[in-house]
Amino acid sequence: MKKQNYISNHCIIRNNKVLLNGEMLFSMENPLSYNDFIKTAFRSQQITYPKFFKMDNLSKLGFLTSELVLKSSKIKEYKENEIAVIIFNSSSSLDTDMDYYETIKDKANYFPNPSLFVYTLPNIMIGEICIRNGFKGENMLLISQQFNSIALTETVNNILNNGKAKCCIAGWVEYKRNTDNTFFQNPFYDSFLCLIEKNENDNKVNAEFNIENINKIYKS
Amino acid sequence: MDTLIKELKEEIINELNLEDLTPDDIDADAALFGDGLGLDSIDALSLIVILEKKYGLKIGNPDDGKEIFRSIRSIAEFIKANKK
Amino acid sequence: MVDVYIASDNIISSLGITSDENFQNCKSGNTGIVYSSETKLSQTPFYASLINWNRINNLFGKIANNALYTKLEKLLILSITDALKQINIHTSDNKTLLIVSTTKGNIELLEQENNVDIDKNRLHLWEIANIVQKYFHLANEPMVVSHACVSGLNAIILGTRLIKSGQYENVIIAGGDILTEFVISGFQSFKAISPNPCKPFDITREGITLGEGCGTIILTSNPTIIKYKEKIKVLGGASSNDANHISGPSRTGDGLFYAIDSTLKEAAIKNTNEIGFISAHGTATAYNDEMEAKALKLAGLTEIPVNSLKGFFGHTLGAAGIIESIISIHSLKNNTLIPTLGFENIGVTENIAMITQVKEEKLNTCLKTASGFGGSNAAVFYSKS
Repeated sequence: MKKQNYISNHCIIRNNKVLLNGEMLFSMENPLSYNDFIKTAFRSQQITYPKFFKMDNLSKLGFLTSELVLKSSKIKEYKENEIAVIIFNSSSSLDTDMDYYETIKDKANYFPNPSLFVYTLPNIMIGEICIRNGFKGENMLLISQQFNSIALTETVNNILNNGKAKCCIAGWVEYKRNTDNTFFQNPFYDSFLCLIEKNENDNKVNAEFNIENINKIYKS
Repeated sequence: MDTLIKELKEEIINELNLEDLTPDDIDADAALFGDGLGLDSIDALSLIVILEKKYGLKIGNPDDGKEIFRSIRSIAEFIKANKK
Repeated sequence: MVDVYIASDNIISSLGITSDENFQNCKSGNTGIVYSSETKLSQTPFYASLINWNRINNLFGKIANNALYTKLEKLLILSITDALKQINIHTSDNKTLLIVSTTKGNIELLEQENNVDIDKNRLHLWEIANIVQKYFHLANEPMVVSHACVSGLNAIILGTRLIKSGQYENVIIAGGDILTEFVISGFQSFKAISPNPCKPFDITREGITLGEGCGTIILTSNPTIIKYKEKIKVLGGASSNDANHISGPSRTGDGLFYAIDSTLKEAAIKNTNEIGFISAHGTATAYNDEMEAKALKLAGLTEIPVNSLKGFFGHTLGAAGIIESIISIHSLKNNTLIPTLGFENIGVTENIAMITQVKEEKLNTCLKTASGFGGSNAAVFYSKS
């Protein structure tokens, strides 16, 4: 018998806006850059975590989305190994890969940068989330061309229904550098994380975790 | 020496992304690792790259770096003593 | 309850192009690690486990046009082709899924000279999987796992779970990574590369030796497609996180312990005596090997024979969990323990039971573990059925 799981919170960061459970938490009209937007958004939430500023663009995005989706949640009631983090992404760490490559490309000015190299793996953002929160449970980083609500619900339901986790932070965190030679080199970023639990909750959201609801929330 | 120390502080703030700090916030004699500024193992490796890139000085083994990287002042002293 | 079987497998590495060839080389104590002065890969000479690309290109040229595929894609296609030869399935049905495991995919395409005839889209890992899917006419959109050095085991874990839940009957898990200046220079900047061939768990260990390779495991819920008499099952698997540091492992081993514990519970192992041997990650860095030893102690597994295969293959990153699982599976089939090449004297604080010689003994089960950047860990349990 298939068990029903529930979405307790969801957070979306895209188009210079931060939305938590459908409500606008923060927005910025004309940020100078993605960096300007994400740092200002972070500061606006009064989060104290200096390590944020060392993260690469992708990890900053995943981290901030995760911080907000866990706000006002019952996450502290779970044991450290009962919480899973499952994130899908399209461009892997290509943005940082290109920055790292710049440090080795010119053999006459060859200085491979370790603080960039460490971020040349897409799962590092999961590591940052786990370190921040002390999460020691299941974690997986998957790559797909587009956001795929079917793969997401299958993978998460599997883990929750087979006793491998009691709750899950899951979704899609994508950051793609603009490599066209256009004047305004805005990157494409899109982040959507949900907190999914096995039981119904008294949160405003409390939606059934299924493909239809995930699509509805993602597209809102 | 003071110019070098200021330069180092700025270098470290930029390269290690110590976002909310200004050179005045960093004590030249404060511990960089552990309790002081709280830098970690990747920061140590980045400091090795900074020394090589900006000052032309090579440290092959991170363990040798422990004394050199104790504080901003100890780095400045190492540079002064070894820069050609 | 659906059982998950290993239907077939293949390894392409410095030690050969079939699982058997690779296993026999391990049994004979032959390492694939060589000393290289290839300046395209590194500014200074280095030890690494390198594939014979002439041999690969000759083989591949017989089935497709070399110019249209990247190095990694050729490995994946050749490896899957060999694994498919060993069983009878219709790959184009909708009950078969492909999962690709890789850390850096076609990253060499960042270098202009490497991407002459190849579309820049191939920098995307999903595109690599699409290329492989097209080649084999697979019906379903493939999945891709890119999770540092636990990618291979995570892919096996995902495939196992999808078969157990009835979503698929067969899952082709193919993982690989090639050596590039990108990766070698990065590990050099970490001062993580050993100046000599790696020595897992040894007191004189000085870091990792990198390797390139590809492994394929085909999982199935239908044992009738398997040609071999001896059938091996995947009884369980789990992943976990250290939650300690993004590139340094836990100092206590508790993260890896959680993955091991969850795996053994799923496999219903009541007594650790039931475990034949452990194939650890054993990268030969000071911290990784120490962490693993602590995790084995927490799990009560310090008496179980343990090895690391990194001395044979080097660290093959996205392929590691798959290649090393296959060698472990062949160890079970052949009732032969493979030793830890490069190990001489224990250099971790827990006295774990290092396998130091080839030994023939009846083996029924084994545990495979892996750990990686981002604080990740994974474990999988294999058993004769």
